[in-house]
Amino acid sequence: MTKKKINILDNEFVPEHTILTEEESNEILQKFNVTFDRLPLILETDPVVKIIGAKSGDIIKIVRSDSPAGKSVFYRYVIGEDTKQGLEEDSVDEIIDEEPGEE
Amino acid sequence: MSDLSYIDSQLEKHGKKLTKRILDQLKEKLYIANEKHNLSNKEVVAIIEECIKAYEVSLVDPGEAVGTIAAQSLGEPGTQMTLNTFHYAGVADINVTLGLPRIIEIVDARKDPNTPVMRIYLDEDLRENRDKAEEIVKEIEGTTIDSISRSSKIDVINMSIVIELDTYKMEKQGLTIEDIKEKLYKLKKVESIEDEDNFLTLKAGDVSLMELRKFFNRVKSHQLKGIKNIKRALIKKEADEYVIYTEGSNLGEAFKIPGVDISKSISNDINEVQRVLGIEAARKAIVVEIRKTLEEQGLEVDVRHIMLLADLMTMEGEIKQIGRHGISGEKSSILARASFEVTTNHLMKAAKFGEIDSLSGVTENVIIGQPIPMGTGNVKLIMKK
Repeated sequence: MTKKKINILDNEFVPEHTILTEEESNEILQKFNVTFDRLPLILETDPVVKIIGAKSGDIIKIVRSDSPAGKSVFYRYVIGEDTKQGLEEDSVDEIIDEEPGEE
Repeated sequence: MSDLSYIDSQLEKHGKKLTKRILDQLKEKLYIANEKHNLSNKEVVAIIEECIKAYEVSLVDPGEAVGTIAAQSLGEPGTQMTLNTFHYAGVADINVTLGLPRIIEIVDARKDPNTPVMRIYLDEDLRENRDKAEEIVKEIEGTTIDSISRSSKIDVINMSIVIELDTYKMEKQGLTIEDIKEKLYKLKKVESIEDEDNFLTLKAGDVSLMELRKFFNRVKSHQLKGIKNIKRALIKKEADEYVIYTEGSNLGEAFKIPGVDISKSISNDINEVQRVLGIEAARKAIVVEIRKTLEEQGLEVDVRHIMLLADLMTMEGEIKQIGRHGISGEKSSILARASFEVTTNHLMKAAKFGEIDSLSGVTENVIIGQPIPMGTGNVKLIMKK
């Protein structure tokens, strides 16, 4: 039995994803007056990201066609596993209580 | 009367200020009006400009508390929703969680929803073929050893398991004894399998009685066919095509089956959609599922509120619940988190480490009685010298 070719990009729920060039990325950051850490995120391990070959640090342009406006554009910044953990390290290190169970 | 090309060029020129849907409708109506009322070039431009003005007036003002409005818009119909789930008894339908419990499930981003269901569509050339649909159902539905055996018992004297197979059921599922033996050899601890007539004798080597009993249960429930997690699959006729609904969801495996239309088949398990189709698909799934639930209850909420919720939940690349293990728990303000859930924990921890609350959010400012940083409070006044 030949293996079926599965392309998840064909699915109706998956909108168009495109990787922006460095120039286009800078344009977008300027247009919205933000730095890349303020953009919505998408993981490097996301199935679509893996298919289009985007890497951590890229900006992806997503065109959704299901909004009331007809077409709407969305941008996501690609982060890898290590960057994600960096974001979670904002919490303070636990100090060991001398008397546990005070709460 | 203006040239159609003039209308097109003017629309092109002002197009950036309007949305695609509006442009499409405007173009259509301009063409019609042009025919009917013999518009001059000036009139065409005037109409387009009026349209742009009307659109801009309808836009949400910057600083509007859209989050609060979305919450209210979803919360209010929530009070009118049933707390019960309807139960579809019998074979004819698949049980799905409805109403408020379903909304809660979605918003809490539960990793194991109550009633995962897949809707599987067939390839274009197979859509109207009932036999093909039944073939695919057989591929999907799980069959265990237990379901194709007439009897099964533990032979304590010989420390083995004897299974009497039901040839009729085996044939129905398209399985031969060789297939079954092959699948059983994959089980751990199987030492030997002998078959005589329709009896299979399995030996597990030197084991205790308790281990033999456990082995017995594992053998009985061993899956021979079908995809994992699927309990059963039904065929329904919708319009002119046959659609398969499954109790249980495994989108990744279902896509692999030849004949399944990958472009339309979907699951209602949001986390699975994220795993298989990506975060954007998951976002759409959240919107679709909430809309479906509301619609089923006869309620209507503007899709924008739902879109805002879905966008918020998927902002960081994975689905986060709204609750304290997700979005609400990640607020930087201590007072905001404390006023949400587990009050003392947050306050104690903050006191221990001398944390600072910059009082820049909505909740904190309400607590201390200051104007909130939204709407009017979004701007500060400075006096000119």
